[in-house]
Amino acid sequence: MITYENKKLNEKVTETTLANGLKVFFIHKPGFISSTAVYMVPFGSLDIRQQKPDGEIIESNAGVAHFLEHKLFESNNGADIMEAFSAMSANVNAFTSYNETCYYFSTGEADFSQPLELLLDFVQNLSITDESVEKEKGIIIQELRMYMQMPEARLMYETYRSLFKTHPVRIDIGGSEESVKAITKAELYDLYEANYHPSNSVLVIVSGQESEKILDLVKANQAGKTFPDFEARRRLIDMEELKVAKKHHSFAMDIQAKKITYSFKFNPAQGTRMDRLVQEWMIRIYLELLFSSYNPLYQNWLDSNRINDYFGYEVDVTDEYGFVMFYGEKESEEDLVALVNEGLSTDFATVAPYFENLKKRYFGQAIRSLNNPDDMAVSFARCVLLGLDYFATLDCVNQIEVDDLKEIGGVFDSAHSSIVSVRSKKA
Amino acid sequence: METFQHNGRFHVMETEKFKDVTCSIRFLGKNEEPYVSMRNLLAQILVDRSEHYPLKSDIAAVCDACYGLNVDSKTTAYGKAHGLEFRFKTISDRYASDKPFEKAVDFIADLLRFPLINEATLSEAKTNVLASLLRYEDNPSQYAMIQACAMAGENHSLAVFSQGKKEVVEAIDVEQLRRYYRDLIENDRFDCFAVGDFSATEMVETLRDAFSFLNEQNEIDSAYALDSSEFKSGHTQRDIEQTNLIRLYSIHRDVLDENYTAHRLAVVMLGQLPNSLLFREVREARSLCYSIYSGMVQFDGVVSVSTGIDASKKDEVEILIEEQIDLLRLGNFEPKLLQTAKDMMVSSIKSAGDDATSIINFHHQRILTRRAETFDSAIAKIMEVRFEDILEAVSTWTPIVSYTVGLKEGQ
Repeated sequence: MITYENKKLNEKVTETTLANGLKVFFIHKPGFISSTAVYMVPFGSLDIRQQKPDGEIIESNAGVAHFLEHKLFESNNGADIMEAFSAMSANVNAFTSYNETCYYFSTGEADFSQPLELLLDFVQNLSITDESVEKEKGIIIQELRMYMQMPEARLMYETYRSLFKTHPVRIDIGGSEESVKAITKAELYDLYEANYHPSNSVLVIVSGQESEKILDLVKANQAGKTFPDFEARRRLIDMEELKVAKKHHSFAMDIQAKKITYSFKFNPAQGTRMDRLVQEWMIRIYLELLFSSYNPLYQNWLDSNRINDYFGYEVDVTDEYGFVMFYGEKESEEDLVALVNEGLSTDFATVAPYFENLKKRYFGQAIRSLNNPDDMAVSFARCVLLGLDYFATLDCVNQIEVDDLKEIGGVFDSAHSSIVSVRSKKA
Repeated sequence: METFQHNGRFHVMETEKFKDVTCSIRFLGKNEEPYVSMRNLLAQILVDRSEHYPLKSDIAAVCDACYGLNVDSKTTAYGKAHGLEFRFKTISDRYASDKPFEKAVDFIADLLRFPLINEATLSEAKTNVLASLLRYEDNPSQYAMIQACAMAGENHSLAVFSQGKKEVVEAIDVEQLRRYYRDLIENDRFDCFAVGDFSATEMVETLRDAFSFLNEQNEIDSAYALDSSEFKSGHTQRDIEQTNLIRLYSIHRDVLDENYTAHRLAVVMLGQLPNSLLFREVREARSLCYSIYSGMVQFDGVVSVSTGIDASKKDEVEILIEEQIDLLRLGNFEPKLLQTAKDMMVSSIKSAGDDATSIINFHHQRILTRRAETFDSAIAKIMEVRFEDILEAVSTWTPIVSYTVGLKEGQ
């Protein structure tokens, strides 16, 4: 067990790896009343094609990681785990993302040993029946429909499908109604056993309490359990070519405000994950300089009603792909393209003087992010699974110099772009 | 737990646990049109530009110099009152030697004293407010709630949508807005809160100096109980797969009622827990929905139930909702459900102490309802609620609206 302090950020972390391989981190937040614990496994919606150590390839139904997340909340006797947490004054929840599934609880009670043990026990034990799997399908299909009728969520989904040809990011995290209906109990058990081993998991606790008693409890809990040997499966994803699946795509919903995305695909930086994180921040800063009030064009765009305060952009750089997505509420796809091109054509020298302002802004945001124990626990766990130093990620903007941004414009190649719009059915 | 020090309308809490300082200035005026729409326009204009900072980039530069000073303005309904809030946060002096919070206070005071209300800023604010209103309409669940409140609250504050009204926004002119802003500064109730790592005595002085132009004497009524028992139903046709259902209930009690905590607990038992009656019966036992929950429009004395379902199941779900409320009314629930609801509310109140905005919201509500409550006394009140108090509370609930957005049965 080691404890280290980040004096600059005034944070203290104790970490240990248990005999069964579970990595445990305790972040001490003096003065905080509540405690949060996060159990995360690197099994997300992208993991629908995996390779066993013997070379066998396992293909799964889309949405299976999310389905598994739902079913873990069912105990041996069919009782609901959520109810048990409530009885302990703890709020429990979970989410599935592209790369991981995360289970977490928070409580305002000083003694959180009971919910912590329950978190470990329920995530480390799957107990389901054919009947309960069938029943869950109806609930998940309602969840999928709920998101699909939200214009923003649907537009995002269609944008991914237009950008990507083969990468599973083009499939909704929850899968489709068809893939959810096809999921079986046997499939869930197989994937659970292959991906939820403690040596493949991380536990992060953020609390105002002292660490010693809590870490002893975790150790005792884990020492009392046995797990089969773990054979890590490898995620299989073919590299995605830069060519987009659809250059243009438009669909209709029963809405009034038309929304458009204009997105670019690009290759992620070679090297380490930290290199790609720095690449993401460089693009973010570059775009903030060109598409915010620091660019004099921005006020012109507002004054001429070419954008409103909904206009924005998102950046994502992963091991396998990178993309930037601009979005706005507009009638004309062509005008959004023209506007983005105007922004990207801005003489960088006119906005470069504001670069240091943004570094100061992002430093302040990094400091403030440490106030939220829930967010901090999730971000910390993600960094552990990605092999990143959490505190180093908060400071990575400081590695960037203004001259590094001069080459960023190269990622915006219209040959690898896609325009997607959601329009009114009544139009 | 740390407590607020009150000095007139200035309320400060000194604590070392946060790495930033949060300050919230809250104005309260009448929850009536055209004031509500004008306040939403002001929420946009006042943080966008000012006389001394005439460009957006001027504002951005000051915010960035204060380490990403986060300035947020928003509007909220509090029953008969409507709130306009300016909240700003910056890192505490421990992490920056150039005293960013002091600069931020002067900056915010300057924005409030010298607003730039002209044709250009009003036009831009109108564009943004109108676009936001359209977004609410395009979101079926939010739209169902807005329509349900409009139907239930006819001639009451509940019917006024806190984010404004299209026709009113469009009609407002520069002079009208300038006059209204002067009136707001002179006549609105205001409260200023600060939470963070600072000296409370010095902070009060700093805030008093900066905001001395605001009037500390104004009062306003907020909480009331909607006096309605007439049941109405409505529907908006939308071509969507899931139908959004909202049911509203008048509880005929305001937030000052001595049994009010029992109403809050009953709402938690009905639909805010994994073992809540609605969640167990409608979702878990019958797989009729993914999400179903109950809520409270606290300052209007109204309870809501919201869910997304297949249109063909609407009648079945409505019957189930009524049956769950009847279980509470008749006492046909396990006592442990009440205990769980109490424990969760208590845990939630304790956890609120770890979030500066939640701390401020808690104390602001206590001030508006003229309750000298602390976190500890609020917790004690929850623990005092008895089984029979729940029955008594729910016996006053009457359904007043059922509203759906989506397809109708058979479509």
